[in-house]
Amino acid sequence: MNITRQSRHALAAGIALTALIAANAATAQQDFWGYWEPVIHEDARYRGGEGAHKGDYAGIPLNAEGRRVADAWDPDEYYLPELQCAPHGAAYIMRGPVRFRFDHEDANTILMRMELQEQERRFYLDGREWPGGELEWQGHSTARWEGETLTVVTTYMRPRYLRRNGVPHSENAVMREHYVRHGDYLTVIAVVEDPQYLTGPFVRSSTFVKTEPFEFIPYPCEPIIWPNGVPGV
Amino acid sequence: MNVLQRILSLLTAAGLLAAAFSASAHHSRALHFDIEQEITREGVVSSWQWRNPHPFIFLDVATASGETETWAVELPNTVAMTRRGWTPETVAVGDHLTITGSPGRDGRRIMTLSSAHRAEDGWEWRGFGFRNND
Repeated sequence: MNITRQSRHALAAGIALTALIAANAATAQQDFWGYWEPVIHEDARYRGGEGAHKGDYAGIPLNAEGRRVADAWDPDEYYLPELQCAPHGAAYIMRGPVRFRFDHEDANTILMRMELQEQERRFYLDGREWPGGELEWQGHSTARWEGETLTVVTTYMRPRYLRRNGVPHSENAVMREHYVRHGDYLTVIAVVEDPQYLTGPFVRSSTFVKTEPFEFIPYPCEPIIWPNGVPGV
Repeated sequence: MNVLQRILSLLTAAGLLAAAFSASAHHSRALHFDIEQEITREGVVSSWQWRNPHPFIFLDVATASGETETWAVELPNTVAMTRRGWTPETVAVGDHLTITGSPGRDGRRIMTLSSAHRAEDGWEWRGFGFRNND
């Protein structure tokens, strides 16, 4: 009888502990949900209206091939009709003036819906493999919770830039992001590895502040066909 | 636009500006514009393209020699401009505007928008300027 009673107590304690752990985990994960807007103090010159100048690779561990490609890059490609509406890729978009909402799309998918360029990033918690097909600007992302940190690994990104002055990344680039909340702020530490263009990991962080829910402003995009290829000529 | 409407417009714009954050372009402006310089052009709007990735005001400017030059004024995207109080009706073809901004590199007749003024109704708009993360 005593053994049975002890067993019941142990079972009840186990259930309570499991529930407590589950509740804590849920609380930690829920902390990320909602609306965020960027705090662009860090690297403001690169990220703001001035932007990066041609040939400014400061802080980026470019290898010789990366430098060659960046040097050869033509800024006027932005005015090509096929690229005017191309969004920032995953390896850059968090650096932009991006407001976003974190939400669950389903039990295995975290959806980051961004106002800027109407982009979406999906973080798959079930570790599913890339389904194949064409490479996407936002790549393929898997994620896992490490305590209160959300770690996201993004691969299969369509080649794009690390900085808006032609610093390239290849389709073999791997980006690991760590999302950490501190108070009303959310910091994303991104580590990009790309042996094709980088001598080592390229690390930078971006910070966001919690904000009240807002209506997304639509971003319809329609390229302008410039008679001479570029405006003002 | 009467005085009350103008005051409300200015208050709304001020509120939006206070709430706004960076409106960086999808491309680095430093690549295409000489951001160390500022020019002013006065003319008539010949076309107004409210679209992304960038809205454009096309301004016909009379030169000293009597010819007409068209300047393409590039604005931040419509999301950023909407947050700053702009709509597709903010300017219209035929408006007489005075616009200040940074000129295009390589002699191109393009410029950014730092401020705009319409004498007809006194409408005035001022951005943050690039140095302030606009």
